[in-house]
Amino acid sequence: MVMCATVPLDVTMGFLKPIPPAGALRGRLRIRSAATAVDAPGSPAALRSLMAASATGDRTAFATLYDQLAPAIHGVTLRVIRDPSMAEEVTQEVFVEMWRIAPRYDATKGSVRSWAMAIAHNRSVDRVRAEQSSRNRDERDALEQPSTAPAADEPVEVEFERQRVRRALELLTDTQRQAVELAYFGGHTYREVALILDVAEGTVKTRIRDGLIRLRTELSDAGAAL
Amino acid sequence: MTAELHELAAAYALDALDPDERAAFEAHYPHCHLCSVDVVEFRDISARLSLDDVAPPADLRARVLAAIDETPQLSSGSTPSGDEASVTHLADRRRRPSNTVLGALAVAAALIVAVVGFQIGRSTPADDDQLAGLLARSDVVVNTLAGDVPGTISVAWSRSAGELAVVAADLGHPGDGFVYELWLLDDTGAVASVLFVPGDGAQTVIGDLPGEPSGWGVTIEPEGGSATPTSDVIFIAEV
Repeated sequence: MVMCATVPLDVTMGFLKPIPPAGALRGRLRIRSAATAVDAPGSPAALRSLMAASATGDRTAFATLYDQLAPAIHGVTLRVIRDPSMAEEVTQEVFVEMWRIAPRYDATKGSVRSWAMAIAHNRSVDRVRAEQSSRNRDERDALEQPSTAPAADEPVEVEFERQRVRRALELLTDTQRQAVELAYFGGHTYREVALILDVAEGTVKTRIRDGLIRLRTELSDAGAAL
Repeated sequence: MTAELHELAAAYALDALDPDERAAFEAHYPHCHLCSVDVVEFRDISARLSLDDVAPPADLRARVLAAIDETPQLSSGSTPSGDEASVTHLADRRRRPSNTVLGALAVAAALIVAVVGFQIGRSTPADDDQLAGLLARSDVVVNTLAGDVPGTISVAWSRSAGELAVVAADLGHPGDGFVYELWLLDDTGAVASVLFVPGDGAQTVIGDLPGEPSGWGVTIEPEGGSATPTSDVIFIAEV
């Protein structure tokens, strides 16, 4: 756990290189507007190129990114938060945050969609936990899908992906699925899940882990998803 | 501890850890190949769990686009914690000062941290003579901080001089409107801090030694500094 080292002075006492203002770099790095991207809307490649343009301050690209991701983002904020107006606020927060940190998006650490959904889920859970002291959430309701109209003109790939994930979820044991859903959709920590289900914390941790490993196995067949 | 931490990637990807565990895991996984891979893959899975897309109200688009006009972007380059999701939480933690960061400090440096007082120390760009004067002290100690992001930060300090110098190399700009803040941790639990912005005229800053350090941590804070750390700890050292 010791993370420091006392090192010779001549090694550490280097001087800073002046760093150009971020704006100047951004101007030079401006790349093609993603509006010209030819990739299929919503595809990983399309999202990546929109993201790259957004990271250079391209608002048009970001607006397109919004169009392609907003239904997925709002789907998760609404599912976790359940209160429509609060979910709307959080969806807005998520996009503003995506814009703010766009220059730091690192494609080697996951797809744009995963990154955006992680932000959306994290923000939603934060909101739910902040609200928890002021209202009692009915646990039985937590897993019910809100009644919402699906987004219009959905491409067939989206329906295909949905069925695939649904099938994979059916392959989990009931206890694994319950633990994963209470954590993800219920916004509960695994300790809370253990209290709700009245089982040991370690058991819940294992169910969540085994469940995700199973889903990873089922869903990772190269290329099958898209 | 580490064996247990390895087990947490799945719960982490579902945002199902307590703040303290979350902080401990975030301090661990960027350095652990297995956990890094798990986090990426489990996040990808969790991103697919939400099966029902829901179109937000049509006017939200205009509100988002108006809001981003008011929102400066971070600079690229340095990524606190080497992890975009940690960056995600920056703004959030900025709004509500969090125990998470203090938890991370406590875990990572094995120190018990309770904020009993703080001060933002004066710091000024150091000239070579000042730095040389400090380094010439017989009791000078240099601690190199370990970080997850590019660049190095060293702190040279001397009890007899009552001064410290922060020397940063190859560190990214913290972003417009933000500064790096160095936190001193001592055994009584006090936290004091020194602000510095590399590449902003100050190559090395020198300031008063605000206490007896047993550890150092660096966070990114809004200009003017914060009373307590509000972002992830991106560099840390035990003295």
